[in-house]
Amino acid sequence: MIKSLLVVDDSRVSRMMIISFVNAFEDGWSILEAANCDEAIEQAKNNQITAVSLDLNMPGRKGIEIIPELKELHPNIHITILTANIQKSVLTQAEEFGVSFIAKPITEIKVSELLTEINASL
Amino acid sequence: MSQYMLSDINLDTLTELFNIGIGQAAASLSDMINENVELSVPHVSCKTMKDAETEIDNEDWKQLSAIKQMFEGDFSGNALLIFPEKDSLALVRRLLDSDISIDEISELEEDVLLEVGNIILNACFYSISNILECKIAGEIPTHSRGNCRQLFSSSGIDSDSIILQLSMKFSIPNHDVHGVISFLMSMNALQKLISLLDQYVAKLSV
Repeated sequence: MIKSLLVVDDSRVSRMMIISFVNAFEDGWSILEAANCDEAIEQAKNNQITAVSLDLNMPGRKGIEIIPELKELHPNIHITILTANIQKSVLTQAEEFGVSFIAKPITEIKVSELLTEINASL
Repeated sequence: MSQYMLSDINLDTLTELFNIGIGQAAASLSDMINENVELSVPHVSCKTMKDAETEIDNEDWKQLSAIKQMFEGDFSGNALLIFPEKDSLALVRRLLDSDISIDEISELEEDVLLEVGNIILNACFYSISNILECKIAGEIPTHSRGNCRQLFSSSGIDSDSIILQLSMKFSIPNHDVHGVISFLMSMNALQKLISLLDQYVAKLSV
């Protein structure tokens, strides 16, 4: 089974970091990138997506706004909010949307835990 | 030319480091006021002191309020957290108990701003040192008022220093607070920072 991860983050270096850790931990991931929410929706429309790592604070729409659309396009998708905004209100929103939450900075351990969680949900 | 020393990927990395620091600081402020703090997307630029002054003066903020903190370590400089004075007062009022009198607010204003500066600037120092694996330690912060030129010149930094400037806005209930963080650094210090950024990006590119 080919697994695909959509990395949505306006920071190129954050996308590079996530991709480098994912590739180091596990072969077989097809990785797609989006620098904003519109690009993310376009990628989700045109590709089969297994999981999404979603930044919140990006130019244009906030990441949280596209969760319903992503779920509508891919009902079994695993979404993880990956953000520097670690306020309680954001954690509450993540719970309400039924998505995971990881606080930046991105580390190898956090990405490893994320992959374990995604694999368990498949 | 405003971005002459930093490549796009280095600017992107610095923006993300500040983003993480500000995110942590906003969580602390949010806990203090028991409300969500909405953050704008930060914008980082690297410019001469004169260009940085012009940019801030163009905002027409008039009187500014700043928390200054020297930092030393693998690279050194002066960090300033700058607010338009009207925004700093709104922030102070929001952080203090609503039952406090106007006189007491005036007395406590400097203490509150120093605490806010301490939280925000140290979160940025921590984010940079933690991710770039370097040492930076902040000294005791101080508070001052004035226009941009006065704030920069009183920092004891040469006029040919380079300013690493982060502009962002955060919203507390019923008020938008504009804030600018300026890292005033010598060319030598900036070169050291660039070298750390290059090393960090090189590791990701392997």
